[in-house]
Parts: sequence; C-alpha cells; structure tokens
Amino acid sequence: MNFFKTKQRTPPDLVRGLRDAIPRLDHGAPGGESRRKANEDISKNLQQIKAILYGDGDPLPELVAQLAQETYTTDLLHHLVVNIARFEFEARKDVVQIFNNLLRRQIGSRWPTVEYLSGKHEVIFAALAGYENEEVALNTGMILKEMLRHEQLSKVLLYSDQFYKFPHYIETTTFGISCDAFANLKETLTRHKPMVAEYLDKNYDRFFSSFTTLILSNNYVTKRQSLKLLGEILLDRANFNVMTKYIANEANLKMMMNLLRDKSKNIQFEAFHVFKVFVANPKKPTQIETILRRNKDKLLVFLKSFHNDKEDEQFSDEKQFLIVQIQGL
Amino acid sequence: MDSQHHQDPEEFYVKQDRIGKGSFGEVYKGYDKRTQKTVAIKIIDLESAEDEIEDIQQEIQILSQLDSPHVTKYHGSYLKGSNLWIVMEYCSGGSCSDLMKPGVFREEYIAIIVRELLRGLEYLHSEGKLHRDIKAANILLSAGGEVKLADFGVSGQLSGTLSAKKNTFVGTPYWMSPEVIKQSGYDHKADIWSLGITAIELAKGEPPYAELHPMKVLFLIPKNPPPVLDGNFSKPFREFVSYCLQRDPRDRPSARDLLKHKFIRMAKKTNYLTELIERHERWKAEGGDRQDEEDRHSASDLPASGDPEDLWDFGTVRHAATVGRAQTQIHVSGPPLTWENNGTRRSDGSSDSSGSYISTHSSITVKGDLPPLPPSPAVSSRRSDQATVRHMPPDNGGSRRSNHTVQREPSDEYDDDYDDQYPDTYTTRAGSTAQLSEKMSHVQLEDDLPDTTMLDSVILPAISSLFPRVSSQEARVALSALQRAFTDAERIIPGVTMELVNEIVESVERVEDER
Repeated sequence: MNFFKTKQRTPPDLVRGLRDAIPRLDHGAPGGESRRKANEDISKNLQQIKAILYGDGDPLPELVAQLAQETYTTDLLHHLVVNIARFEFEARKDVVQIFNNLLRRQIGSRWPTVEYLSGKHEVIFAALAGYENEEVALNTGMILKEMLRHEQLSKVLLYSDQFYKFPHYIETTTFGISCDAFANLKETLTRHKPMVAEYLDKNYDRFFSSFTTLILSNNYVTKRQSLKLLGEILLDRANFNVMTKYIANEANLKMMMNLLRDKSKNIQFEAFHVFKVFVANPKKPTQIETILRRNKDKLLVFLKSFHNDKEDEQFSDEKQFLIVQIQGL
Repeated sequence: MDSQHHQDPEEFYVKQDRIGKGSFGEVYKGYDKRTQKTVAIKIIDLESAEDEIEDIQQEIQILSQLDSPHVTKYHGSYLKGSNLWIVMEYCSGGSCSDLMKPGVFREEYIAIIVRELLRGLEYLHSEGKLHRDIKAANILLSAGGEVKLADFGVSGQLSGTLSAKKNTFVGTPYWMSPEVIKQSGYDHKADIWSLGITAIELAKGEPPYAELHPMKVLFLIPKNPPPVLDGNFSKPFREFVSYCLQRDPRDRPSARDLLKHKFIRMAKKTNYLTELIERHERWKAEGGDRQDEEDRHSASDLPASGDPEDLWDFGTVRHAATVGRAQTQIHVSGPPLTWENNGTRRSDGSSDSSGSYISTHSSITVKGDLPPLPPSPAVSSRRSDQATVRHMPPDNGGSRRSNHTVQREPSDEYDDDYDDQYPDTYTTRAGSTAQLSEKMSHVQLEDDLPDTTMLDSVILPAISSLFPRVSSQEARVALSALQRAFTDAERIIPGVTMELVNEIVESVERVEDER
C-alpha cells in the first residue's frame, strides 16, 4: 500500500482519463453509483489539468505544450463543450477556465488553439448552442466570448447560418442569459470592424431583416439594447456604406419615428440617436426628405419638448442641430 | 408569443410581503411554485436605473458562478416589463444590523460570525472575486444560524446605483479601506479591512466615525491611523481587529490566515447564533421595533448621523467586483499628467517663462502665454480615469460627462479641451497653501494619481441632482457650467475639491457647535 506517493499523472494520462470518463456518464442507472463515479473522475481530471495550466502562477511550459497538443489530437475541447451540462457545478467552471487558458496561449505571434479551432467550426457552434440550456448557458457564453475575441473565429460564426440563431436565443431565454447572448451578438458585430463591415455590406438584407425583429421585440431590454447597438453600428465609420443604405430606407425612418414616441424614455433616447442620422444626412434621398417635410411642424414641436431634463450638453447640441435642420426643410 | 412565457417570473415565483426597500428598489419575500421554497426577490425598475444593462448583466454573470454555503445563493433573474426580478436565497434570521437592534453582540457571538465571514471570504477570494461591501447590514443569518454574505456583485452594485436620484453613488464610507477611498487600486485585502470594521460594528453597535458626516469620513480614513477596538474586550479579539485594520494592505493577513487566529479558533458552533435570532424575536414581541418601523419610512441604512434629506445617497459605492476589474481600474488611470507636477517644464521654450514665474501664492492666470498642449493620450487617459468611478467600460475614452453620446460617436468627437490648458498655477488663500501643496505632494508620492473621488462621487453628482429641480434651459446651462468649472479646477489644482469640501464640512460643524 502506498499512502504517501501520489504519482504525477502526465498530460496524456489526464486527457485520456477525462475522455474515457465522459461516456461513462451514460453507464448504469441515472443517479447510480457508476455515474457518480464518472462525474467524480471528470471533476478530478479537470482540476489537475487546470493545475497544470495555471500551476500556482508558474506553469511549466513543456507540460502545458504537451497538454495542449493532447487536447488537439483528442478533440477534447469539443467533447468538453458538448458535455459540459452533465458535469458538476465546479467542473463546469473548470472547463471554462481550461478552455480560455488554452485559447489565450501564444507562441511568438502564433495562437495555436485559435489555429486549431479555426479548422473545428463545430466547437464554435457547440458553444453557441449552449444558450439552449439554462444550466450552462453562462459558462458556454464565456467560452464563446473568448473565441469571439479572435477575428478568425468570429468570422466563422458571423458567416454561418447559426449566427441567425442569436435572435432566437435572445428572445427565448431569461434575463441573465438573454443579456449574455446579446453581449456576444454585440461582440460579433463590433469587435472586428472591417471584417464585419464587409459582411454587413454583402448581407445587408438578411442581416437587417433579422436584426429588426430584435428592435421590434416585446422584450423591454432586447428592444432597448438592440436600438443602442444599431446606433453604434450605424455611427461607426467602418460601416459608412451600411449606414448610407440604412438611412435611405423610409421604413427604417418610420420605425425610428415611432420609437421616438415609445412609452419608455430610454427607448426614446436610443431611437433619437438613430433618428438623428437620418436628419443629419446632407444628401437625404427624396423619400426621406418627403417624410420629414410632411412632419416638419410636428417634429419641431416634438423635439422642442423632447427630454428637456437631460443634463447632457452634447445631446442638447445635437437636438438643437436637428431642430435647425428640420426648420430648414 | 410563446417564448414570453419562459421569461415571466410569475410563472415560477409568487411574490408576497415586502421585506425591504432601498434606493435600488424593493425586496419581497416569496416562494418558488415548483418547490414551495421561500426566496427573496429583488425588484428593480430598469427604466429608472442608472446602471447600464451590460453592467448588471456582468454582475449576474459573477453571481451565477458562486456556490457556497457562506454566500446567498442566486436563483435566477427575470424580466417583467421593465422590472427586473432577481431571485435569491432567503435568510429568515435577518441581517446582523437588524439583529443588533436589541443590543450589541457579545464577543463569543462575534467570533462565530467573523469565522463564518472569513470562510465566505476565503471562498470568494479563491474565486478571484471581491465582496467590497462587508458590513453588518450585508450579513444575513439563516433560521439555523448559518452566516451568509449577501449583497455583493449584482446586489451590491444595484443597491448603490439604482437610486431615484440621479448619479448619486457615493457609498457608505465607514467600512471602506484607505486604499479604496483613495482609488489607488485595491485587492482582496480591502475586504479584510471592512471585516475588521464590521467586527467593531458588531461589538459597539456602530463603525468608527459613525457620528461624523460621511463626507468627512472620506478623508479621515486615509489620513488617520487605523481605528482600534477599545473597551472591555479580550486580548485575542482586540488583536484580531488590529490585524485586519492595518493601513498597508500587504500587512493584513489573508482570510485563510485569519482563520487560524486564536480568536477564531476559540469560536463555538454556528447554531449558537440562533440565540441572537431568538433575542431579536423576544425584543420584537416586547414592542422594541415600534420606533424602528417608523424609521423605516425615512429609510436608508445610514448610521445615526445621516440626514435623510441629504442631497446624496450614501447607500453604497459601486465598483468592479472582481480582482480583474479592479486591476483594470489601475491601468486605465494612466500616467500622471504633466500639468499636475507643479513646476514641470515643457521642452517648449515659450512655456518655460510662464511656468517658472508663477508662484504658488499668486493668482496669476497668464492667458496669452499658454504652455503647449499636452499630448492627447494624456488627455484621454485622464478622462477615463474619472470615468472608472462611473463605471464606464475602460476601453472607451469618452467625454467626462456625456459618455453616452460620445461613446457611440467617435466620428463626431471634437476636442473641446483646448481651453483647459492653463499653466500650472492655482489660487489659494495663503493660509491653506501649505496644506494644499502637502496634499498634492501626498497624492503624487503615494500613487501618482489625482484623487478625484470627491469630485466624481460628491460634487458632480450633487450638481446633477439639482438639474431636475430647475426648469429653464438657462438654469441647466448654468449648472453644467458649474460642473465644468469644478472639473477644470480639479484638473488644474488636483485635490482642490476635497479641500473645499473639507472647508465646508468644517464650517458646518462649527456652526452646529455654536448653536
């Protein structure tokens, strides 16, 4: 019997131990002994893998390299994301930490895990699909967020059909998860600006017909956040073409004018920041100018009493500018 | 739409009696329809909340990752209209500040509570998280006497920010460590300080300085030697408190180390704490809380000295809740600005003349002879330093007040700073010059950062709170000019706001004394 020596398990041992334990989660009866044991093994292996990666603040590079290589050859990351819901609470957090640590790994100018994942799209989509399960959505959301920091991975998601699942996740989950999904949608749309600008330009119709459903959502937070994001997208210089297209469309103008009168002050305010772009456009298309001119008097009355309690100088200036523009129509 | 059903909190929870009301919203007792278990439900109207929804979501993310018997458990968050329901574990024993109403706790109870708090902190700190708002009011007891840390992360943040009054997020400073007040960067040791203050609070009924105005306390804590526990207490207890209350955070032991302290090792089992709950029950039965009920309407968890009609809301300061974000705060603060260093010369010859001739005692403003503009990165770093107090994302160097518009509109941004670059001069009364320059050198020596707490947390919010009370555009313009004037003054004379407030507080107190 050997009580005192715990043999140091090598990275391949740990990864293999972990991979072997996952299918054992199906063995025996639910809640039974063998499942419990499998979960215990998973938690233990995850902890040890985490210990190698974080190693008391001083991880050993050779061990980390060996571990990373082993996770790539066994597709461990995919298995972890797909099965995370079956792990214990702390083990789920370990999965996130392990995943994100590997993702941040850099050798010179290379990002080995990013390179690996750019050939494994299913991992990205599995992380996105985490929003289907309340229990783990915030864990997988963190993994997704870490992946979206990298343009290559973000691009995979943006150009996929799965990207259009975001509105569904945002609309059907509870507040905390819905907000997390929204934050990742925003990350996809704002982090890598030139890449996104090109996408939006090429996929303008599909994107905006989907995005408009969020603006018209019955959910207060979704509506408010998506309007705000719309404002940010349109006012970003990289998206100049997209903005020009957007503010030439009279349906969009009508939608914003209606939202200016929303019962929520915050939504009115966000709508203002999109509406102002239509008005400020020096080359307003006829259809836009017609609508504005037709409503000239009403708009002037409306704007003069619009959010006068705001202590925001820039807002006041902008409002004044709009009033002058509309007067000049 | 079908999906709406999954989000409706009333499908899962029944809201019952209101058990609390704060500046952030209301707290209800309720139960889970599926399990019949009692829960606490915080309801916050996002439409009137000052917080960005992203910040609330971040905090929920943090809460959702915590699972400890020493921390109130988060059950979920739901939206109903613009009302956010945050469902948390319910603790029927109440908070330590409630339980203290019949009288302070005996030392043996305090030892148990502090041990349990240390266990909670050990967990949080090992997760890389800070509580940041430890005080008796945030320590809850379950029916069985288990001690739970409450109101951090989301709730801590919300309670400080979702006030009906705008921009009033100065917190209760009594429990704050010197380094937190100075905004010079802090870590988990800030919680250890607050724990020491809380131990004093439990023993004496109030934290140190409770009789003073919170504004005054904001600079007494960094200035004075740490408080000590005096009175008829055991040596181990007094020693324990002194370990927690060391000015240099590095000298304070960690939660794990403190668990080994004699005061803690002698503590009894937690179920003894049910005696405190029973005592409170008896006290209530005897009518002890009648006065209390009346007080509740004028509300707030202010110590006795607080004036409910104050301009400020001294509920809680909000800050980042994780170590990671606390560090971000340090980074965004950026290097000290050239114009803070009195007497610093620019390489440009023209500025040299104006810079060196201006004495600290005079009140010269050399308009025609401005030093060259400082490099723009310095400007933006100063701005985001201020912004951290207001919880702006660190990566947008927005404007000083209207972060909302600027952040979305980098293209529209224009530099309105050209008129801010006055020479390194300031006007003071001769008498306070020494004090002021001492203060300034203090600031630069200690952390190389301007201490703008007083400006960001007291003065600007106070002026903001006046906006809704004036009706004309002209008045609003005047108020925002006032804010700008303060901001400019603080930049040119770092620390001046603090000194001004100091003067005001002093004179107010004198007047009170004379009466």
